[in-house]
Amino acid sequence: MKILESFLLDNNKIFFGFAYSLLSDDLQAQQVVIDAIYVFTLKRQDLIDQLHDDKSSLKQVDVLAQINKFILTQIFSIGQKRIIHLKNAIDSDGSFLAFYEMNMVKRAVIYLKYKTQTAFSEIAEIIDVNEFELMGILSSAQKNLIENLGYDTKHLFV
Amino acid sequence: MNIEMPGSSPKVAIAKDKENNNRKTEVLGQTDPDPLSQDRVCLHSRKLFSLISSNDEVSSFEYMRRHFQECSFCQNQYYKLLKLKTEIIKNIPDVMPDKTMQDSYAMEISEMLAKVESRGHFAKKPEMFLDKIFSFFSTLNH
Ligand SMILES: [Zn+2]
Repeated sequence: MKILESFLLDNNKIFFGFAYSLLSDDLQAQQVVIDAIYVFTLKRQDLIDQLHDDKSSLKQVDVLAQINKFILTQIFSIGQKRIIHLKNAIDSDGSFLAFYEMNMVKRAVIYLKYKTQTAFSEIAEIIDVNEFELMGILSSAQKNLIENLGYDTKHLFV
Repeated sequence: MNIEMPGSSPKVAIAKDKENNNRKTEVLGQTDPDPLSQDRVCLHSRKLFSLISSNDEVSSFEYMRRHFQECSFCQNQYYKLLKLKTEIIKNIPDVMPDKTMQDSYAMEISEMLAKVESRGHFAKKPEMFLDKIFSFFSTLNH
């Protein structure tokens, strides 16, 4: 259980950062992360068992990567349900307004893409689209964000 | 919102934008004329953003790098996009939990895992029991 615990502690920054990019509220972000991990402990006993049964570190790295993806997926899906109640509270202090003007799917894609090491195929799984759709979401998110920042994108093929 | 780029020439709005009464600055504040109105637009530039988004296969990057040597249009677009990428990254919130939150997180995690562990023990025992039964049967078969 020690490996799992230190893994979850180490990755809190990624989990929290991702949840915050979706919800723009630190208490909500923290709660969503904890809920996501709770769902993980309930639903993925198989991964927890694998982690402890297989002591080869190569296999463990692989299992931890799957755990990571599962938790990010949960954060996204729980966050999506929670955002409905938070709609008006989003970003009251006006920082990162250009970012929060985008919808949640685009925020998730931009965050995972630029702030984490998540592979393209995994981002697709986390937000539950195929890679082709993800490509479209990514380019329109980039375009949106640049426009929200006040740039003219009409000469750019984004 | 009118954002000025660091290191760019002072805001030079192109005439067209003024007509539109659009407060948008021209891309990166540079003064080159509308590229689409010129003959030297290059279709290769369509690939550029995916290139800087680094979904790039190495081969396409190599190809474009060679292409840059003969196409200044793409080269310019590429550097503009690189700057925009920096802008994008700068404008993504990257908030860390504070000390109090990290502590409460650590506590919750360790409680949760303790529960999993106790549950795990109950789950393990019948498995071992079954193993014994199977090995018992397998000895009978011999
Ligand atoms: Zn070209």
